[in-house]
Amino acid sequence: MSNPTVQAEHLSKAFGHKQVLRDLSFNVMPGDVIGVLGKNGAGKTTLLELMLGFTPPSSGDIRVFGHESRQLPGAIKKRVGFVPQQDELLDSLVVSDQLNLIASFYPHWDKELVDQLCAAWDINVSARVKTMSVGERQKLSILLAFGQRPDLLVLDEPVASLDPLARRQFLEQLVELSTDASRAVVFSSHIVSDIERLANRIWILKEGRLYWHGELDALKESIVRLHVQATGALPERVDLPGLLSWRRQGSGATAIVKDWSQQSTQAFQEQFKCDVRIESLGLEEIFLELHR
Amino acid sequence: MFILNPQSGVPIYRQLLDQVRRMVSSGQLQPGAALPSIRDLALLHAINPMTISKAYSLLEAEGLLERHRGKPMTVAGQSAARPQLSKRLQQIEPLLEQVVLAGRQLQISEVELAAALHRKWEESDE
Amino acid sequence: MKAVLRLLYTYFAGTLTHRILSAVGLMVTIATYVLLRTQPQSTLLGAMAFLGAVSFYLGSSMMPLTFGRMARAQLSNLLPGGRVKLLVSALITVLLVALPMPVTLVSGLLVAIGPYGHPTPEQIAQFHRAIIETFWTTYSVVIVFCAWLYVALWFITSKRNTWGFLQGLIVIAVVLVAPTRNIVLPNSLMWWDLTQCAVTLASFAVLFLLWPRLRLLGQHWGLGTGSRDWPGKRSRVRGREVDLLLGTSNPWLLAVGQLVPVLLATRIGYYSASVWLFYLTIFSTVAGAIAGRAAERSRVLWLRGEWSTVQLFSRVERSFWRHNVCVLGILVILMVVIGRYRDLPVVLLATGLPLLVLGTVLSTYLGLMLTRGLRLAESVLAVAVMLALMAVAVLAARNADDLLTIVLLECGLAVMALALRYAARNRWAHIDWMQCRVDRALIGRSAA
Repeated sequence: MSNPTVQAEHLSKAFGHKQVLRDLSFNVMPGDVIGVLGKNGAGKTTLLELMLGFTPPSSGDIRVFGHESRQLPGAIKKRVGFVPQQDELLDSLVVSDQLNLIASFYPHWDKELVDQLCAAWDINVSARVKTMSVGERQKLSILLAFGQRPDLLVLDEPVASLDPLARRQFLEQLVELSTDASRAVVFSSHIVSDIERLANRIWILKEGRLYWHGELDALKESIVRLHVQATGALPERVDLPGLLSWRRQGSGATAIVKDWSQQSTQAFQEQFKCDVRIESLGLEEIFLELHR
Repeated sequence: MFILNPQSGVPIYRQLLDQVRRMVSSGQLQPGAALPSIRDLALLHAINPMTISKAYSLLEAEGLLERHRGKPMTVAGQSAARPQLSKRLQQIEPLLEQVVLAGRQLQISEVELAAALHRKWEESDE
Repeated sequence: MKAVLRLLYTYFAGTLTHRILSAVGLMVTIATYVLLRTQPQSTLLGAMAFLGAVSFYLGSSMMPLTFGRMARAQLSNLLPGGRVKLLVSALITVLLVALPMPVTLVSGLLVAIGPYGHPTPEQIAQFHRAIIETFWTTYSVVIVFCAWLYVALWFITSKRNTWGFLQGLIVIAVVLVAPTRNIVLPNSLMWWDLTQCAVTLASFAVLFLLWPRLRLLGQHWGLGTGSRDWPGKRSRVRGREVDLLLGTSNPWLLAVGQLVPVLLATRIGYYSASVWLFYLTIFSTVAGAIAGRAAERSRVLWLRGEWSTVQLFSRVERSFWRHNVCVLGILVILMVVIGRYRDLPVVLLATGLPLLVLGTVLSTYLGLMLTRGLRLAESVLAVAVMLALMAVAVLAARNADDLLTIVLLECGLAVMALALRYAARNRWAHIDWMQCRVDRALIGRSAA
């Protein structure tokens, strides 16, 4: 059992009177690729910032590689990479100068990888940053993080402005990175399909709490949609273990349930004299249903 | 080689499991045939390699695949038993469910359904 | 170490313009140094030394913006040793940039030993001591001056609203005040100056390193959540749409705000008429600095209204005149009051007032000309105009009797203003809004 890359216990964060995060506890193990989902304003960026030590927690504890996130020593900082939501590039510099500037801070900078990706991702090394489009700037930001070869890579909406080709290239590079089981990746995104491809664990932030933090496969197997077709009338409200929502439609109903099983189906069919069809849901559907 | 849909409600590893099992049973994958490496498959479909690794490990535990150090996984030889009946029945379980459900919806009795099944079986023998 | 060197390279050679300025400054300084070892001092060599130092300083003018941007970036918290290395690079820059002036000064003094009779060894030793003292005194004063000038530059280049300009103005005012005092009082001790210098740099360093913690404390005590609420902002901003969009809807902010640095100066400094005029002329140009963003901001107006670009230009021009009349009015009154208070000759006032007006007009039209961003041509023109204004200001103060020359020069400036207006109008007729894009990054972080 290797040491967790990131460890948080009862983490909370409030800005003034506004409570953004409540009582979060989680572990990030090496080899994990974690997708963070949540509505806008759910606290995704705050969580990532807490992880990187940009802001202190209001209560609770968060450690990166065993050190307090606010007091990361230089040796640990070299192993952490971050791609912010809004790029922090220096506009007046030429791309190669910008790359060299950041490279000078990291002794293990992978110049070959950076050159290779610049060519593959169509980044003009002699262009000035201020003449680049938003997508190109985002690609450059991502590149800066990859060049470090970090052991913990944190990305905040990294692909929001990328075209589908660029997104696919980025995903492929992340896959490449995650074949190394000692690295961990945490990324937040609105593009659910990307998370479905890449993440093995999902964090769903809802109202400041970690509504779900576990394997994506387990999430998909746990939450299903029931299509109920009855001969008689169905009740307005139903009390079932694991029921998340129940909607009546004519002589039928739709229900979202958690941890459903075969026995439950039979029992339900007998109780309400109906037929039940089970539909498994994609991540986007799950997310929508959880927030309806 | 495989058709994987990450957006489906079925987890990717399960899709892979089902497809490999079907391909082995149908003979599309002969014993000894090599499967794509985890890395290649992950890069091709842009999915997490751990998902593929999970599927391969489960298939290996089932006895369907063999692992070779330094070489890609291969389909297990004929001598590694044909999966048990219960396992094979498990594979058509979802199809059976669909038939039963359709039957109920169309109000076909169990006896009539069994008779239809028998007729189909006879037909496919010809 | 590598990072610090890279940072220094970025400051001095980040863009082609800066590379040229740094190189030219360095070469001119070295040339002056060499020449001063053999040639006697002359105004030409003095001017060369000054220009070399200024050019070198301008070559590093990217430092405040780059430093500020990197310091505020979240990434700088993650860069190993980020803040410290950033600070060290800034300090080294200040130390380097302050070097040319004292070095050339000393070399000029060294030559002066020669022709004066046969000095005794003690006299020589004393002279050498005096030279060393002069070097360190000048060096420390120039360091402080440059450091504050960088701070002012940072305010002006990174803030994009009137309040930001004012902050920069206030800093410039303080800057121009303190060293002038020192130079005028020649008995200042070397140790006093060195201490002042060390204290300034050290306090800035400490403040910078502790800033994240201080900001956190500030947040704790509820001092602002990052929203920009500058003094004088009312809950309902009124004004025409044109004015609101261009930022000229509230001239009183700048008008009254100008009073602060000027009154500060009267309290602290000793001044000759020339310095005052010089000072006020610089002030009169700030009003026009806001005009620099007019082109880019007016795009919205063009989309909304039925005006052609030429009509748009005259609307914008009118908006700025409405704004400037207020600001200028205050400035002129200020000039008259100070003039009477300091018993400046009426002639000086008569020549000085038009100069203030010209300053505002020239800089406004220069700003309106920036329809293609700030490129080399525009920068050179801006610097030239500023220098011309300053030269005329100094001339007007020194040779108050030579009315004819001064009047002619001012007429010349007026003609230049008309020419700039014509050029600006032309440019607006063919404006290409994609080219006058302001630093996107600065807009994105304008709240920071």
